[in-house]
Amino acid sequence: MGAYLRRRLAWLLPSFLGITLIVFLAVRLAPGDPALREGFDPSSGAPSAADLERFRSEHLLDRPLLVQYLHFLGPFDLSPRGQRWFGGSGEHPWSGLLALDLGTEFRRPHVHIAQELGRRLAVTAPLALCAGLFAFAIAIPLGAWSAVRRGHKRERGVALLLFTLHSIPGFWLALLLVLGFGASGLSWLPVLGLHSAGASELSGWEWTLDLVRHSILPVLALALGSLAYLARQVRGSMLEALAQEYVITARSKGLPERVVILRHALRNALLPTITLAVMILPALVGGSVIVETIFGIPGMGRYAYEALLERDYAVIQAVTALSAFVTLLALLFADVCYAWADPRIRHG
Amino acid sequence: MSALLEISGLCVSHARGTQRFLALEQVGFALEAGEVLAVVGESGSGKSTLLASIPRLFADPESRIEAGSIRLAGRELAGLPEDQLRALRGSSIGLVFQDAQAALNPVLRVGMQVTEGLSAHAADALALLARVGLPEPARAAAAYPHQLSGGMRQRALLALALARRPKLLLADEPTSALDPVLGREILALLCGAAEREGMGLVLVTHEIGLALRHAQRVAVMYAGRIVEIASAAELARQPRHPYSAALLAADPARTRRGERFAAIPGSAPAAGEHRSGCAFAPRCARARERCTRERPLLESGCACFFPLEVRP
Ligand SMILES: Nc1ncnc2c1ncn2[C@@H]1O[C@H](COP(=O)(O)OP(=O)(O)O)[C@@H](O)[C@H]1O
Ligand code: SF4
Ligand SMILES: [Mg+2]
Repeated sequence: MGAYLRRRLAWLLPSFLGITLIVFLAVRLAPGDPALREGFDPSSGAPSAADLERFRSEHLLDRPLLVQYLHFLGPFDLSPRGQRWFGGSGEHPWSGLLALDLGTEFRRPHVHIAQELGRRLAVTAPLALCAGLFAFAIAIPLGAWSAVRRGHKRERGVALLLFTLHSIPGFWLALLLVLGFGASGLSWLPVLGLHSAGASELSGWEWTLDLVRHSILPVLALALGSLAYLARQVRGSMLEALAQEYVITARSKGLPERVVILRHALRNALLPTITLAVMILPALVGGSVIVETIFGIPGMGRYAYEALLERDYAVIQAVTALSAFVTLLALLFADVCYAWADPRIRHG
Repeated sequence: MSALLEISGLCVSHARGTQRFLALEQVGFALEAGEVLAVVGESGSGKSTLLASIPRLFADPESRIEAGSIRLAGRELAGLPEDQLRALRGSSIGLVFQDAQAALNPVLRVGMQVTEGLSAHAADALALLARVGLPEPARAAAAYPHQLSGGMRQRALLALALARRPKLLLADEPTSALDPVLGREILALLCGAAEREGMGLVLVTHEIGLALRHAQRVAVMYAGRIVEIASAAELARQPRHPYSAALLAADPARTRRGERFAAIPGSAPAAGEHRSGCAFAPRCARARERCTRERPLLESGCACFFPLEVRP
């Protein structure tokens, strides 16, 4: 177990660097010029050639890709205002991921990305957490039930529904929810933002109720795809577990079928689900971009979306690096949990 | 007094795709308390299906008993509602599988698995494990299956099956996964327990030599039917069915030095293959025209039109 952990830890850094490199290149290879975005320096009207020049040099866009990447990685600031050793003015010697400094936005130079991300995460994280928990809470019993009732009429209906949910694109699902339950449909739930217009006037629990009502559809839109995916996975591993000989041994003791299913089959079937818990994390992050944009929620997903439109490399890189970092940590955590939960690895 | 286990006319079918085929046809035998009956036959002849049909614990929920009767101490099991049958599992019928690694749950401790479902006063894992000769029962009880050796796992599985002192013990190739020395130990344990406690034991094996050594009676199966059933001594002295004779001749342990080891030519029919007449006819040296036309039934212990002569 110790050796296993060390091996996993040793992989963490190369994986993280690999992901940041891919993100870095992808952002830069995409068409569009961050200097030409209209959001840039709105006070001075159309940017002059000199403005563009200054912008590019400030953000190293006129330097080779390798230099840009090293600047992004840190810990040395390689910009004109950066580390003296590399020809900078020495004003701001350290920056980049390794200096734990995400820098400022391209389009709003006074905004520190780390602070803005913190604000945005405070919105996104609870939504994603609710969506993830909801997905698991439904998917595990639903998947187990589907395996036990395999082939029955109702199970086939559920399987078709799950397949559909899993295969339709997230934005389409979100739009369907808006159309179905929003003002244009049944008009049951609000579909814009997380608070009503006058929410700050409301009393404590009314405010909470307002928040909950606003959160239902976004959480559903976030959760349904993952829920369908998870339920199908649980069904699969449950079917596999139910076909094992130890299940027959359990029955041969005269145990009630409920005990056979829950204690003997489900326990084994849930082991791989621990890893799946993490696999839905990227889906939730990606989903939040779509869901927050459609529901007008000022979270991290919406932040990433705006940054993409504005070609704000700094923000895009920061958001993806953070997502990658969290996902890698979660993967490691899941591996540890898995190893702990499976006695064959724990006492290997 | 009636026999402990009486099976007659048993037909069991398995599903394959949307088709069904009979894996057991007209199987019947009786077993007395304290008796060891071995069931031998090539792989695929239906031995496991036969064992599984008694407590109705098929690997595939689609498998089912089509006809026949299974009586345990006079009580009919075929057609018995599931909850009543469940009450008999473990308490009256114990089951031991070939591969203890697969038969034990990998994520539960051995002691817990052995005592699971027992009443509190009977749930003494250490005593149960000591009874099957496990040297360090306390350590074995606290271990997970993968932490035990193959022989210890098999003993643990045996302890599990014996925990409630069932009247009938069903063992499906309990030693095939072990090396011969360990296998003999386990078999001695199994047969010893059967004798001591007056249990009936059905011992499935594909090694006829092993069957002759450990069982009082032997049933030889071929293509889902019992083709010969006789006492071990009689069978060893003079097999009557050509297939039994071929099995004996093919047993490497019985081939005397210098003699040629006689493998049975051809191969067993595939599952569900349609056959008229005697299923063994394509491989039988004694087959005549009648054998392909008519099906021989089990009469006085042998299903063959032209059995080998009983030596005077
Ligand atoms: N669950 C099942 N579904 C379909 N066919 C099966 C199943 N189990 C066994 N069979 C078939 O039934 C026949 C008898 O199998 P089995 O009872 O396992 O024989 P044995 O134990 O003597 O090797 C074989 O042809 C096998 O392929
Ligand atoms: S009935 Fe005929 S074919 Fe079948 S075993 Fe006897 S002699 Fe051989
Ligand atoms: Mg078998």
